[in-house]
Amino acid sequence: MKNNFLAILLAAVVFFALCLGLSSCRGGKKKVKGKDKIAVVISTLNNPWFVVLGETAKEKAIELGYDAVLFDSQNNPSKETEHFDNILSSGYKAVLFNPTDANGSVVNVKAAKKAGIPVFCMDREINDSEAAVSQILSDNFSGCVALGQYFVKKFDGKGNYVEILGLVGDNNTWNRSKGFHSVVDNYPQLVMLAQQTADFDQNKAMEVMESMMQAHSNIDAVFCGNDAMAMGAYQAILAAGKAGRILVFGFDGSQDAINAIKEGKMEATGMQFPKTMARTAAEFADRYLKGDRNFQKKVPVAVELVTPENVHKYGAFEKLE
Amino acid sequence: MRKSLKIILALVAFILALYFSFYTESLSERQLKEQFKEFNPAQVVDYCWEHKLEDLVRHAIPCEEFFAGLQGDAKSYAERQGKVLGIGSNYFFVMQAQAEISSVDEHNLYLILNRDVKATIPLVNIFSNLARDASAWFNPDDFQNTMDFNALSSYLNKKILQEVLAPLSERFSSGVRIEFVAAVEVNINDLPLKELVLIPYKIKILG
Repeated sequence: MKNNFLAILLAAVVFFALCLGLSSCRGGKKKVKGKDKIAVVISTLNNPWFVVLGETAKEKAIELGYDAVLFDSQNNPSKETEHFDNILSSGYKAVLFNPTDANGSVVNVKAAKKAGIPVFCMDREINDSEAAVSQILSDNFSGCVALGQYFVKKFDGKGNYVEILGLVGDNNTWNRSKGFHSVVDNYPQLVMLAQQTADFDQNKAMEVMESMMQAHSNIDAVFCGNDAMAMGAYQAILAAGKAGRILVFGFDGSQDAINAIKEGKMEATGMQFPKTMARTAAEFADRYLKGDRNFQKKVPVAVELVTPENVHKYGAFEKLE
Repeated sequence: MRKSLKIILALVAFILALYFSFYTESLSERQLKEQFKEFNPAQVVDYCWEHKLEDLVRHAIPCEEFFAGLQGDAKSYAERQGKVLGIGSNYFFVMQAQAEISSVDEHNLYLILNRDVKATIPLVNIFSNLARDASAWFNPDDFQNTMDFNALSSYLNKKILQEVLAPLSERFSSGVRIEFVAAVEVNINDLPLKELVLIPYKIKILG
């Protein structure tokens, strides 16, 4: 009798212990293993535009309930690959990605895909339409068509200009340049005197503009592939005593550019919306991790032309309400 | 009984395997995808122009309905009747209208629509992706990169200039009535409409 009682008691204790163990595994709000991690890989954090992109993506991922870590590729494809190696072996569930190179970055995205980690590209595309789950990109071409039309109107179809390009491995560089030229090249009296890359870098652009002004004394305008380079070009123009004589056009919609347009130092920029792209990428990652597989491969985000006439409607990288 | 069940299960498995091994699609869609494989913007645009233009024209929104729709709840109307590429406030429509040419210069043809909206049809240069995006013939997902996708616009714009506008350009003059089906872009944050740029897919001079 006593043995039976002890056996029953032991069985009851084991039973309740099992029940407790199972209920803690069944879910509820507290995860034993912690939050899922999302990696935010940005081409460079040495440019305020990309800082906004990266920080916004990270903030949105955290808001959606993930741990998020920001990686800086320093514009170096090898560094970017190191980050991906780290990400693939460290339990990250998704990558919000701003590539360093449209071709060179494909291998990293494919490696992540093979490892079952979805990648969402932000701002810059890779030349592979299947590797990433989705690519959220500014419509750079249309933005620069609008800029080109404004440029032509400003000069009444006549004048000499130079062009400072961004990174040659970035499709954005060529989408912007082609959009601009698709308009401007139809006006034979608008003459491009020089075209050179400054890698989207402000200091490099200053040097490039200095040498362009030394080679050509009759420049009326400079079109820069981003606002950082436009600021660099403006510094060179100011130092040469030609502010107001050489008109400056940029692209991005940075705070510096907005201020410069308000102050009459710059003529126009194309406003991109990095916060929209970053938030969309984070939301897509969240949907994916919750089981959704229905995504557009390419999601263009409209770019808006900012000029002295409408600059009051805009803040840095966003439209004011 | 056990044997029957096994046979039934095997049959079900076989049918399921067969079902997921095949898919069907229309021949025209397949041909379109084949065009895209080796990218040639001219071929892609010409194919769509030949096979899809008639349908586009047939479904164009009448001018009166277009303007009435935008005067009401413009956002809902744009979401129902317009097309948007990705994220933005610009919507694309295909509109059909008749109007009298108010003036012509070497670059543009000018009209008044809906009594007070100034419209321009470019005669020499067509820029932007408006004609491409309003047609909804092309999905950016089908292209390796956005440069290829943008190349479509360059070719389509040139085609419209050469095949739609150039043949009639000498007959355009003030007072002439025209009928057209055209792409139009509207920013729903920039209403009411005051000016429009129209890119015509079809245009004819009325008697």
